[in-house]
Amino acid sequence: MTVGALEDEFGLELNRPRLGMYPLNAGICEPLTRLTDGLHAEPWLATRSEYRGDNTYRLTLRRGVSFHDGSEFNAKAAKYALGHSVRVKTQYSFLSEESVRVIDDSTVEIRPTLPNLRVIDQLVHPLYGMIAPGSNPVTRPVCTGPFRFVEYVPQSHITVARNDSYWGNKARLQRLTFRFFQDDNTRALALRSGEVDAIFDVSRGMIASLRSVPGISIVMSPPGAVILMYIATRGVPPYTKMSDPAVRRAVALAIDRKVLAENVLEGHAAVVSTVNPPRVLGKYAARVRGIPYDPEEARRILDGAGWKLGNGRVRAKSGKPLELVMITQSGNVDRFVGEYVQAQLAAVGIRVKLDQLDPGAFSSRINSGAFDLDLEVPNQNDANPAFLLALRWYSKSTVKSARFMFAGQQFDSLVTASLTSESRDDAQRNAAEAMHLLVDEEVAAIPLAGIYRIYAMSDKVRGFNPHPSRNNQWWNTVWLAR
Amino acid sequence: MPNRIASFVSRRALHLIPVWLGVSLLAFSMANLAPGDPAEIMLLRQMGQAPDAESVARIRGDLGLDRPFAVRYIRWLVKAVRGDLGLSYRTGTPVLRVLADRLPATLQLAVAAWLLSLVMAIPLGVIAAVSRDSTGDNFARVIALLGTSIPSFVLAYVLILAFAVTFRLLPVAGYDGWRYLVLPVLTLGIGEAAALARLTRANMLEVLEQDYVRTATAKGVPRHMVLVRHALRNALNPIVTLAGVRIGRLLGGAAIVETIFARPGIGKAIVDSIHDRDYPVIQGFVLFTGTVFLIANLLVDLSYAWLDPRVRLADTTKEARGSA
Amino acid sequence: MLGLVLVAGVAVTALAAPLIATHDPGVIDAMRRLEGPSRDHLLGTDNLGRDMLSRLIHGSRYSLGTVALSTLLIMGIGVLVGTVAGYYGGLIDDILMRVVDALLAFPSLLLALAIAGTLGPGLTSVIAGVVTVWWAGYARVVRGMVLAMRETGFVASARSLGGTDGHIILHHILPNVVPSVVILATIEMGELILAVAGLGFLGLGAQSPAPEWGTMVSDARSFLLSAPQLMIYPGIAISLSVIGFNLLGDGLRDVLDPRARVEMPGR
Repeated sequence: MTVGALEDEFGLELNRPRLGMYPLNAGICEPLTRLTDGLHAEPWLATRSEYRGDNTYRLTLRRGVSFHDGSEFNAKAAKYALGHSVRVKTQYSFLSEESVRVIDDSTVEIRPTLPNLRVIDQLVHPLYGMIAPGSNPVTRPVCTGPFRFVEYVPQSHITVARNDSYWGNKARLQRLTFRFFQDDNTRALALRSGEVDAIFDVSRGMIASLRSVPGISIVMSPPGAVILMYIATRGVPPYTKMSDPAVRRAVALAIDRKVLAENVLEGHAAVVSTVNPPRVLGKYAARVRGIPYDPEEARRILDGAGWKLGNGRVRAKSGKPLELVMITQSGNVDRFVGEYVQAQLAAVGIRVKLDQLDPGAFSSRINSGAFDLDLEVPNQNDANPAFLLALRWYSKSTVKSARFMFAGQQFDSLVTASLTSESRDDAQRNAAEAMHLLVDEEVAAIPLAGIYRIYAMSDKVRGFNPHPSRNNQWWNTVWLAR
Repeated sequence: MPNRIASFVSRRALHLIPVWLGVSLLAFSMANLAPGDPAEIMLLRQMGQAPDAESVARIRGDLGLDRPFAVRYIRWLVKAVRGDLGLSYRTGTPVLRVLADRLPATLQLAVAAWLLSLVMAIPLGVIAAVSRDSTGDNFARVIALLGTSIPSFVLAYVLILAFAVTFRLLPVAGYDGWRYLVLPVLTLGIGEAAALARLTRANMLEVLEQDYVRTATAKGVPRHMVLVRHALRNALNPIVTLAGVRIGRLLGGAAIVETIFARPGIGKAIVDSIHDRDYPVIQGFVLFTGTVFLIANLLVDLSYAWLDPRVRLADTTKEARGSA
Repeated sequence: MLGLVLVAGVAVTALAAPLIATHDPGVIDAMRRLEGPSRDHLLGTDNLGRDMLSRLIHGSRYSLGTVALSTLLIMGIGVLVGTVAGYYGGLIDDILMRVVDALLAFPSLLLALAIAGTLGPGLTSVIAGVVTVWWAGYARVVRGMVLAMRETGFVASARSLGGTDGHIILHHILPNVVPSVVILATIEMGELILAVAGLGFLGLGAQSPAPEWGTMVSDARSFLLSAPQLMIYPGIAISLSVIGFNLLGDGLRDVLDPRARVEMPGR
């Protein structure tokens, strides 16, 4: 079976030691805990976890698991693999070389670098996949997963084959190839022409036409990502207009999210109020209400804040026009979403300048605070309810741009509380409370739409369960009907 | 005579040195045109996160970015001459290796498109010229006009829709054998063929009006003999040379075609590295293309001089004959 | 003749865009997406419910405006450099011509792409990229013409009559050079339209929501199967303009200057 995947990113220095693991997860490696499609962590190569106090978790490892080269998976191997994830530096890493301690052959203890009780929720990420000690993941990943590595041709494809001695349910496919397609449309055309059996991330414009093709169906996952408007609450001058809470609220009030989801995104998106998929907050998701569409109220608020509509179509205060700069990374968000927001804000007298930037320019802009609004689509790839909050607005975040998006002292302590809650329920409640502050009170972020992972595949493909997190998609249940 | 040629060659080669320095200066300036600090961008590309001021300062020192432009340029040039074009910010591989990896895809495409354009253009242009103002001529002219006017990026999608999606004869995109070459070659070759056909026709018409052709016809030499022996040979010589010079145009078009058809060639590499602000790759590729073209032009000039002794062995670059 | 009609048509469209267009090209009507032709929308609507025809009409301003401005700059720089090099000769000539040679050593589109791309997306970058590359060919042609004039003794006789350099250039050389350069520019215009549209297609040109034709084609890719007209209309607009300029260029060459074949160094 051949799957049309996204652009090949394994050639990047950063991703080279993650061949077949991340960003594309080919099913070669497995983590200690696994992300369910309900976005919580379940036991996997670790069968049991226990909090021992003092920021330390003890994990019991599954016995009788072996790597593709026949060597045994044990505590030493787990320490090696987690150490590898540290050596492959990421901004998300919460571990250091000293974090993992071998207790006995099938027991390890993990103590994160910072007070953090969400370790079990975070270990699901494919970056923490178990690789065999001494193997070279840059050229040939040796892991425990349902598929073993066969070949990788840069810019072309990566092929895996069934692991016949897999400890769990063995893969149904003998061979699985992921072909890289950088361009969304080319990928869709390749499915249409029968070159591939399934594709990732169907572009919205292609959905309707692919659906009408006999023998092809569209499969959607629950929302796993949110189109999110970040706001520079503490931008660097002249990007200071969004430091005024009134302007922030008016911007949120001016955007009709229902029309966005149902018409602009053609119904392939959900109206959400949370900054990451609501599922990850469990029953507390409803705590975040979102700002309703009310352009009249937006106009009133702007008038009240001194932004008056003169003769022109753009409001001004003491001679300065209400012009906001919205940055997006090209290719990351459908440009139509930006154009739609632009048109909606124009209707209440706010002019938006849309800066579509290449990745390099985007990072330098966002990391220097040179923007008012920033449109992105953050994914939820682990089970930590406070993952995005801690990454983007938290005072202890390692991300440079966080200082321009600060959401207040109270928000900060709620995030800390969520990260250090022992029970998942408490973690979800605190995260929901923090998010409520962020979205409803401070209006320091505006969730625009929850988006589905959209797959398209030939009807011959059976047993595919779409996962809301693309990096946690499993392929061992899939087979091809004759 | 051999002496004259030798001196011609050395004169031409010497003349290339300042031009090549200009090419290299242009290539090097690429990174300095752009907004943003190369050190910061490099760290960003390699670590996937915004670097702190300290490591930026360190890298600036390591890369010599705190030195004056001229110093950096000369250092870069000296290394480049030794074959060291630096490392790609994005992938960390030597730029020279990226070049070597990307060259075959582009060469296949450009050479095949070039051959295709010759094969299509010359008969079309000759037949049109010979039957001037006939229905066939008008038809050929319209086709050629359309061919030069359709943007390659529209033509590409028309071809994909027809041959890959509707008839499923060829793959949509990718780089895995000759079947993946057909559509890109057609896309690139058709436009070039149309342009070349127009030139062939014009050249042929001019030759047909020359005295020696008229004389031959008047002497009663059969028409097809006149055409083949006198007109065609004289018309084709400049066409082939011109076609050789125009291969540069094909490389320019390759950027678009390779992007659409996902061929990992030089054109796509430049587009991608622009997108990633991968300056060493941009600089290296610009230098490489410029150098190759200087050499190619030199060879074209030399072969011209070699094949056609009537060509005065003067400094041909001082003419408006061109050398893209 | 057809060329003249086409070019005039496109030029008038661009100049009078706000008068001709039936709709504001930027107004989004998310309820009326991807509609077919109707009385309201003669060419239907795009994926955000914007009027296709009005976008094409306004697009002519971006596409042709960019090309027109670029051409003026290219001609200006080309004539200036070519005249100076040809008239004064010597070291100045050598230096200028080495610069020209260096620029001509690249496939034009590729170099323009690299320059525009490094400067960052936007029409200004596109113009900068195109102008930086394209003037060189003109400079070389102009220099050739000026040299030829000098050889005829034309300049010497003007000087013997007491003309200053400035006077000679202004009154004797430029009037002879400019018409040929204009013809050359017309011939090259089609090529330039394709280049600018190509840069737009690669995402380097006009930024949204400006309806530049190349950018429109690029945006239309995801609707290739369901609404191919979104790509075909701007494609036709580009082709028609190019055909117009190509025909006009051919015509001009035949009528005004049948013998002197002004050929651009191959691109």
